[in-house]
Amino acid sequence: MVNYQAYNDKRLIELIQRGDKEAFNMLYSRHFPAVYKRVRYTIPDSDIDDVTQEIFIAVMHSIQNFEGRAEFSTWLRTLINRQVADYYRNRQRKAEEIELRDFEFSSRRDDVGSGKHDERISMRRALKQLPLDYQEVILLRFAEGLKFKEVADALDKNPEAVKSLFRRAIAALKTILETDNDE
Amino acid sequence: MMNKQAPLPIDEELAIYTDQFLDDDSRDLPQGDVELRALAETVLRLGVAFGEEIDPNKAEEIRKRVTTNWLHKPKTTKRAQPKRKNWFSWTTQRRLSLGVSFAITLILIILFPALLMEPLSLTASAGIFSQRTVTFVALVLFVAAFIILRLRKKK
Repeated sequence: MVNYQAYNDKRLIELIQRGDKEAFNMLYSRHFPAVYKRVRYTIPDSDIDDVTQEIFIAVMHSIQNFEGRAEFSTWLRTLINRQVADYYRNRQRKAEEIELRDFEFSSRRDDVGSGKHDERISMRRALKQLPLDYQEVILLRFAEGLKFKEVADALDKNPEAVKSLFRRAIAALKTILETDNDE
Repeated sequence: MMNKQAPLPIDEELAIYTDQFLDDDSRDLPQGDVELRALAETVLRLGVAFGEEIDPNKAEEIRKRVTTNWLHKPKTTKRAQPKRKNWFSWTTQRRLSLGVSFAITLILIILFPALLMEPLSLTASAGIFSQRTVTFVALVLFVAAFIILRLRKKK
């Protein structure tokens, strides 16, 4: 019996390219949490599932072209960012429209979590206003759960530079949240 | 002699707080430094807002939808092919444009000395020769511009 868990991403991708469904299941299980959480930080609650699904479908569509020159996680991150950008740009949805949908989704929820849902809306709005490098360092640490050392490797920086970038990103987020609260 | 331990930079302190919060779920805000405390509060707010665990059923449900899509569209990988084709046609057009540009440059280099030499060898027929050369160069440039425009339209 094949032990897919023992295979690294590269090996699993080779198997997927030959049509191995089980290899895909393994790769999916391994990366689903990071993808889902990253999407949750950037996309309204009502569309998280759909966008996550679209990302994995996009993975399946383009995996034949994956040549393993970069890490799969880096490749996947680029794909997620593209899908998120597509969500906001290609579907030609206006930001207000998306927010309205999000608030409607929030008001339909009668659980105690709706306060948290509103907080997520504020956070997403604030995150979107940050420069891309600030967004990325926050997403890598919070959504993907990478340690600062791993974030440094992913961004090709030293850990001190990443910690400094992270502090500046959090400070900028704090300022935006305060400004939004005042308005 | 004992060294007095220097306080850690705020970048480091915030990173330690974030690690403790995300990895050990420690939510106690740091005391003392007001700036650090304010930043730690934002870290806490951000983490709590998105901190919900993912429903395992959701992962399974999405996986099934993705797999169904994959199985029902067995030729999905072909979707990548047109991209490759576009890429090829794009490079072909680029090569053609480069070729045309190179040819024009070559013609101009060949004709340039002749143009420069004309005033030195003024004869009764020099005026006619000059006019011909100018007409020829203009014609070459016109044809080149036409070809480039055609190539761009095709693209």
